[in-house]
Amino acid sequence: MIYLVKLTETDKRILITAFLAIILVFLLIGLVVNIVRKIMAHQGRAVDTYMYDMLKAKVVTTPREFRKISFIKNFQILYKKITLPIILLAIAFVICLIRYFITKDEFFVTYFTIEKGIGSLFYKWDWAEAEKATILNIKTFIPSNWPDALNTPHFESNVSSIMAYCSFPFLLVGLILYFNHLLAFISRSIQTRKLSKTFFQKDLSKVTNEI
Amino acid sequence: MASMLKTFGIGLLCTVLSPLILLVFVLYFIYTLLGTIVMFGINTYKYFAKGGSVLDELAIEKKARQILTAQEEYNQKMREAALNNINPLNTPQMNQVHEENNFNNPSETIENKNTEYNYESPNNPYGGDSQ
Repeated sequence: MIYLVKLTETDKRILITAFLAIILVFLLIGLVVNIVRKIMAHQGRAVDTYMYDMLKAKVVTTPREFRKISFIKNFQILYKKITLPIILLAIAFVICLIRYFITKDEFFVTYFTIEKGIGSLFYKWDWAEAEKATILNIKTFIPSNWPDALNTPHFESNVSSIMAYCSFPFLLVGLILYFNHLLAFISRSIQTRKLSKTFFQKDLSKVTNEI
Repeated sequence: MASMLKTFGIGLLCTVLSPLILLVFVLYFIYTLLGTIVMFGINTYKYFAKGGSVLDELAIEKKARQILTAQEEYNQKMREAALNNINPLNTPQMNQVHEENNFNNPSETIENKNTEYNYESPNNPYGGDSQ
């Protein structure tokens, strides 16, 4: 039998592993997206709550009016809820500003570095120098072994790092909360558009059935 | 298997569209940040000028609440009147409710309608002759 491409046992293993890894990554992304969609659907129900009375009392009668009122209410809710994340982000920003004035480091450039920033709190691997797998004697970008660690979590005792450690929790929590409320804002906007179309839609078939 | 394939497809699609999704998020981030700053300005102005807040109830919401409260009161009175076995539409309490909420008394409205559409009236263009 003539083979055009002859794969060794190692090549097969690498290909199967890479294939499975890719599938797993996309599946995980899909799962995360599904969860986010569910959360968004849940957050969008707020529109039903705040528009219910106005629609029941029939003071809102057109889709345009519905969108206008819902837009104002949406911003009201956002303004009410976003106060905390903005305060947290402002605290982080003030700490960074103080850090900048004390150390005279560049404002955000050194913030994530290992020597002067929060980089020292995280693992850092040398992916560039990691051993790469070879398939059919061609070197690929797939790492065949776990790379060496350039940094393991530790505390740096210089002022710049300490101030970065202080500001980082505020920055992280503020951003997560802001993202959550931003997602809720987008969900409500989508739900408003949907409801403004469906709620005022008239179904002629129902009228004919009644007649 | 089908749901797994669907999840995989969604994952693939989102990865491909991730720059666009990121762009939308960044634009929304800037938009909401600017919106919040504007609302903060309006709130400060309202607070010092009128003593109000940007989070105050909207006029249309107040109106809706008043209508619903009036409807609820009306229904309550109707139920009470029905339980007491009296004509619910002509009690002093009901008249008070109608006056408070600027409602037309339904019984009066019915009477008016009867007068207006009295088929036996000589003034009625459709009355008398055809029957």
